[in-house]
Amino acid sequence: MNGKRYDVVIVGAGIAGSLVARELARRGKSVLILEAGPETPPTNRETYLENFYLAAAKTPESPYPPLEGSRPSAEPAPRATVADTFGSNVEPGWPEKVQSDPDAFIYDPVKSYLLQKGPHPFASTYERVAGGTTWHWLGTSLRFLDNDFKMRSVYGVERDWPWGVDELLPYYNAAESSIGVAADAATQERELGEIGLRYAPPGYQYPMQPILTSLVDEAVTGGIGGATGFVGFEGLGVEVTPTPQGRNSQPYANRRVCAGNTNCIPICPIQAKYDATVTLSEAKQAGAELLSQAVATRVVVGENGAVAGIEYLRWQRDGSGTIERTPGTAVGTLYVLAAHAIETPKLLLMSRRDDQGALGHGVANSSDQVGRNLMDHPLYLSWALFDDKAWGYRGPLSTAGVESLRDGAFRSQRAAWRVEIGNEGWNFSIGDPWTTVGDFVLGTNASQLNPDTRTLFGDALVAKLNDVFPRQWRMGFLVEQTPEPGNRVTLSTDLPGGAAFTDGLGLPRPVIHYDLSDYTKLGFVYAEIFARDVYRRMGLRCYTQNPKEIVGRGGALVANPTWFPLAPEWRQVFASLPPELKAPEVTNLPAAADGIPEGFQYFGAGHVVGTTVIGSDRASSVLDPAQRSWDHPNLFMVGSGNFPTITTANPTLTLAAMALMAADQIAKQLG
Amino acid sequence: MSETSSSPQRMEDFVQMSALLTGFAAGTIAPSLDPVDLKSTLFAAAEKGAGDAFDRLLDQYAQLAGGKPVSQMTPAERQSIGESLLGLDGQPSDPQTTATARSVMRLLYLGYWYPIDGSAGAETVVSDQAYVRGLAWRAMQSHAMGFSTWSYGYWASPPPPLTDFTGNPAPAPPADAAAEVPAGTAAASLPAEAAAASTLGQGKGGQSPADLVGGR
Repeated sequence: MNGKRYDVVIVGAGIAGSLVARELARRGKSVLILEAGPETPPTNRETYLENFYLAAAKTPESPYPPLEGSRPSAEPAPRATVADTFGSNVEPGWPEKVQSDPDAFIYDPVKSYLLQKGPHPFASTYERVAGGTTWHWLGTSLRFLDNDFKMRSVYGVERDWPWGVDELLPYYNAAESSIGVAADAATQERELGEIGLRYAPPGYQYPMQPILTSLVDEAVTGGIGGATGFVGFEGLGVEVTPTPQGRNSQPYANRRVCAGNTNCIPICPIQAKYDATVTLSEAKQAGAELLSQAVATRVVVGENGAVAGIEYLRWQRDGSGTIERTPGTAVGTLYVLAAHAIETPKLLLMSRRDDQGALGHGVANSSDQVGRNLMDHPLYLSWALFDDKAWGYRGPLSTAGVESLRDGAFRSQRAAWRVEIGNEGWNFSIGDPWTTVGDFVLGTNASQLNPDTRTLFGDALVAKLNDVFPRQWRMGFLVEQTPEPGNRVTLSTDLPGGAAFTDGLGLPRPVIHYDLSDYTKLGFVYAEIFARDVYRRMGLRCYTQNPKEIVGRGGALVANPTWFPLAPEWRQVFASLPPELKAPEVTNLPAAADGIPEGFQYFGAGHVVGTTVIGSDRASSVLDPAQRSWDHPNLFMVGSGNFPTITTANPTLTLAAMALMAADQIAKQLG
Repeated sequence: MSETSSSPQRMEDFVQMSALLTGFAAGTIAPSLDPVDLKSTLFAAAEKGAGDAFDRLLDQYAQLAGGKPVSQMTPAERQSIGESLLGLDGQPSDPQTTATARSVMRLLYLGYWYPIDGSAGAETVVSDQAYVRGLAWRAMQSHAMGFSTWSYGYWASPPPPLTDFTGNPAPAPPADAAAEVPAGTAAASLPAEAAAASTLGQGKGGQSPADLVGGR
């Protein structure tokens, strides 16, 4: 850019890239950040908020450009959206078509940026704007546990990390300070120290007092707090633990205190929740330069094997909406890719040159691991009605969870999970209040709350809605997904019809192959049984649905892409349950089913992980323990793509800590 | 139709009909001091969305109500008029006006216009104010997601009473309120404080929903 040579060129202005930029700029290094999407001055929060208010489908992406209804083929920086996965984008007969036709996908490629080959869809999304996906993150800031880093050594499954929790502890502290996390370390340690939650030094304090928990949390704590004896969790007790959160319980970093907008996802109206524009702003104040609307198109490798530059296309729209593009090359001493776990491997694969030789598989890909091991927390939702009003739809979206079952001997056999306790009724579960209002106005029963299909009006309508909404509650189980080489990102241009599937700059789009392992699926089995036991102990009626079919394109019923069947060998797990865990009240299944579900539906957790994993062996990992390419000594990557395993914790805090760790290494290497 | 769409009488009929169908006070739907003037936005959306059917619905309402404000009607009168407007009274009805009545209810409750032909996925948000002032949020004694004017920690206490949100006297609980409680399961084990607190009314962090007027 303008012939200037930077100490560091960073691709991506999300939390990982912004933290690295800030740290290096503060140490006097010259830093350039290339950001694919638009830059966002603070005043534009209002624009984003207005987009949200006016969006018919209030998806996590609804506030941010490009807006719902845009076409990925016409956008310079499109990204995955929840709207891509709507049933109306699914054709009848898709399971066969995806297998037989190389250019067929689960979701209509005209609408869906990701080209999903299945057998199941990757259900999580991200943003391509300055500040990145933290615009729509929940704020949950959990540390990983001791055993999360050594699953292979301890349980004989998944992968080991090349280092352990001790190496990360100082960076966790720094990340919690950067984000502004509210929690009480003594409470966390008391409830979770036994399963490997660590803090250092002794007496460590979070930056802020914990966020007040909700009346929903209080009801759940009263029902199961301290309880033991859950099927499959012998020897482990249940604690309802206040969640460490990146939102303000007091004024912090010149930002306001949380006002409980119940809207952390898609957008906090008042920036009480941290987002990476905070850190980006700090980086710029320290001297980092940001080049927005600049899409990296190629990592250029020189003769010596070192990265020599990043080619990009700067884009803008002229008055008629036509995209104008200007090519450029950013040159630095060191390079950092921070474009999140789908765009980073896409860029590396796009940088492929020739069919053989060092770059035959793409840049940094001598291991052929770039794009592989794509992971998420497949999310199991379970929902019920309290007997008494617990007052959901108030406060932050989640303020507590069950964390105490995140580790145990069972992990040698099946996936662990954490339980996120929702404060938003059945908003996530069934799209309320829209669905239930529609039911009682139209005389339908999509919510299952109107079995007599009555139409209500006046006082009776108010009374009914006031009776049910404050009693709605859901749990979200974040199930750990195993790293699998076959779950991967490849390029549309490698498909037979690939030229048809490009973005608005003519660049390839990501093709996704994705499935869930039996280890992960078995985690769902024990999530379902746990939920039943919670409802039994609390006397609640379950309303969870796992639809095998959904309404697809043109109104026809189609196979639900995010549904998977119960394996025959797991029927016995349910058949052997005590009768009270098979009752229709706690299963929402017909009595004749004997408590045996046909299968489960998963949701995306928004946790895009894997694809550029670190490791201690260059044959099976993309990055070395320092988060540097094994192949190119001046190329680093940061973000959740680097995780060898996803664990059960939301990834942002750990990826932030690792970005700070990488910044130290980069500074050292720059000298 | 005998009145122009924007005439004060036509607007008053719309507000009164909305009050009857939604169960919220006319003064909540259209406050006497009304700088936001949401009623005009909603009226225009219904008129644009349903056209003649909206006119016919208002004509029907005006005839049934005979100029009597909803607040002065007996429960039986309200029941009779509502059933007529929604086609629930067993009498021949105009499917377009009954569909329009339902779309008006969802408009008031959610701020969305749902086409009266029932076409799926074609609903639109009428305006930001229509969304954030949707009555569904008031029916749950809360605020629109993304539009809290309450303060930190309000979620740790119960909300103000329902009557503060509707502007109407408390409705009788639904006849089947306990029907969802499954027989033969353990009694609910909510902590006693929570159960007691749910009847206490105004929470320490709560503000009157009237404070919502004036915007964020």
